[in-house]
Amino acid sequence: MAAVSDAPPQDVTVLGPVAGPLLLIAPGLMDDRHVWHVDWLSGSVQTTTDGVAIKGAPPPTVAERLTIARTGRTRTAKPVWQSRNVDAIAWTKLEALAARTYVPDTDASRLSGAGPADTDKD
Amino acid sequence: MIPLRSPDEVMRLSRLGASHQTRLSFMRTLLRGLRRGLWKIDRPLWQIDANGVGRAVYRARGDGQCYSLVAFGHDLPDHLRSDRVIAEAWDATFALVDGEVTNADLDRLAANVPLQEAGRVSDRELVLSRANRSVRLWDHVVARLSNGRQPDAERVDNIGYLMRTTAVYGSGKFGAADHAALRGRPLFDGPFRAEMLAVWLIRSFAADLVEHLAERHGGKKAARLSRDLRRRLGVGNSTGLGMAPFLVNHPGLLNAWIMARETALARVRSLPVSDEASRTGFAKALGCMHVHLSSWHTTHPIQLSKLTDLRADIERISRRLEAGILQGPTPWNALWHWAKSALTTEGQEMLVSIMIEPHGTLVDDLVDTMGADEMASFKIDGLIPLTELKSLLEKRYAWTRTIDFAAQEACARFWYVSEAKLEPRLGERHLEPGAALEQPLDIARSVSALALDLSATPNTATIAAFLERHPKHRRIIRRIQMSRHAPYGEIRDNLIAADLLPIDMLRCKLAFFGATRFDPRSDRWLRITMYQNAPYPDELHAMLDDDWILSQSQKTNECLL
Repeated sequence: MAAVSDAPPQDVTVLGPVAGPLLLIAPGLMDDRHVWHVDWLSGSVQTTTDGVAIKGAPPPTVAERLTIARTGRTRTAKPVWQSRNVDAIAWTKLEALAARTYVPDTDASRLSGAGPADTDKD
Repeated sequence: MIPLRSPDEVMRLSRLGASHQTRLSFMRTLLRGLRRGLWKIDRPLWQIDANGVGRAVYRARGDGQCYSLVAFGHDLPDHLRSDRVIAEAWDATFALVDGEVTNADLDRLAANVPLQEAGRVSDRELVLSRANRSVRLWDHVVARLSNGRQPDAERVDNIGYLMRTTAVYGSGKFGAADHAALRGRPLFDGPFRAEMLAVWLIRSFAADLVEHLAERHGGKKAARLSRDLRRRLGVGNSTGLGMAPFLVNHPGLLNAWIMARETALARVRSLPVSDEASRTGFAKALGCMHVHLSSWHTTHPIQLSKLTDLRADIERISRRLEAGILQGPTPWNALWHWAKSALTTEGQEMLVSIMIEPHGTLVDDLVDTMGADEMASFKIDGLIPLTELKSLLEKRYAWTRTIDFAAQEACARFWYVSEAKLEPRLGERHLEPGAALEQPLDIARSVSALALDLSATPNTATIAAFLERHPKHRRIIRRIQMSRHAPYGEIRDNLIAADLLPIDMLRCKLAFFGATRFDPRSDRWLRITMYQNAPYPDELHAMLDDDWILSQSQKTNECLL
């Protein structure tokens, strides 16, 4: 359910087996009123004020059994606009990923795609 | 209160493309806020040489805040001057900084701001912008002033600006602070306030720079711009396709803007009688609209036709006023009902603007409703049954059923981002490559595809169960859920149709900014004027009322009324 719905779990949800258990923390990142935990027995991941914290063993490819829990305690969200320090390698990878959505430039698209080029000044 | 106009009427592109500024527009709201907060504006730094190269700082202080516009002047060869996103050099570049600037800030900004998209600013910066001189006016004004003469007034009116911004980037762009950083601040607690402040200060920079160059060239015999001509100079802007995706990607904001304007119109229409002040204010607004038309120039056939319509509509409204339509019961509603059958779309939307104009005390509070927390409705609620989704689809998206997407002309276009400086572009799906990478602005087509899959799924299923089988509909279902509380959040036209006019989307957004004199240069970019006739910083607090948009210098004598 959590993989296809952004609705928060009703406090505690037990699932299994689940592939890619780390992904189940994603809805929690958008929830600034609660702390989310995804626990796969040998380890867990928890939302923090500016991301996630992984504890214990890294997440397995497939977790036989896991628990998603949402605490009622408010987490004080760090304003997103202060989170500007992006790791340079991660940034380069993200830019490369975004670049896969860009359409190659051509003379024709340059001319017609955004308006005639010969009257772009006055 | 009289019901608001229906989204089916308001949200058509042909009507959105006839939008006019109103007193709720952001430029006007900003200047009212600056006046209310008794803001002080000064220019603590001016280091510009005889070629216009150097740096300057304009500082605005009030309401316990301080913002600084840092301006860099450049010596741009004519052949490099272009308004396109793909340009790489400009006559001037700017950043609006949160707070005072130090020399270290200036050096940091000097290394980045002139590069624009290729540079990087910090979360102390709120706006990144650039502008080009008007080739038609700049040299003329410098030459005249340096010889001790004033520029030709008709030329000033016809062009209307010395500099034209070609991008005004805000919220999180290129490292700048997110809009969320400004939430709750007195002057900036609303959409695009920081951008509007930057543009208003850029106007001062352009006027100061032209006088500075004239003085450097002409020496003691140089003149300064007369106060009257100075006021008649606004800031130009060239706007391309980038604004169109914004409107589609922010349905919550679009809804808030349209809802505010439509509520204002409904409040005015609901008034039982008209008073003398509102009738006089309306007549003044109508007369000045007539004068405004004389300096609204375009060569685009569609806009030429609209201006002809507007001229005739103003005459019709004038005659109706003389016949006493505002003297009877619910006069504004009577005028509106008459207009629906007597005026063109362009005339009707102009009427919205001038009907709202004299009713500031009735409508100005709506400004506070024009922001939107779009994240609050971002989450998909997977527990909702499909019956509810289908009923929402019927309520908000029935208009999509009339479009046959099997027809080539219904999906002739595709929106994309070019690898050339990420310029937003519009392509011809059946003629050029790239459609596989199209941006998801094909709302009506996505709804149509969703409806097909929904029809084959039992009503008892939940959205979560449906999405498990059809994850590709995730985006459009989120959008439909958002529409529950946003009746005006969707443009009710096919945005990939062969006959789409992107300029209609651009004009809608620009009207909410407060732009005037829309001048399409093609179907996908246009020029506009901002802050024409607005007060300069040294005139702000002497302004008697918020009526600068209506002032037309001495030409006002030519008003019809």
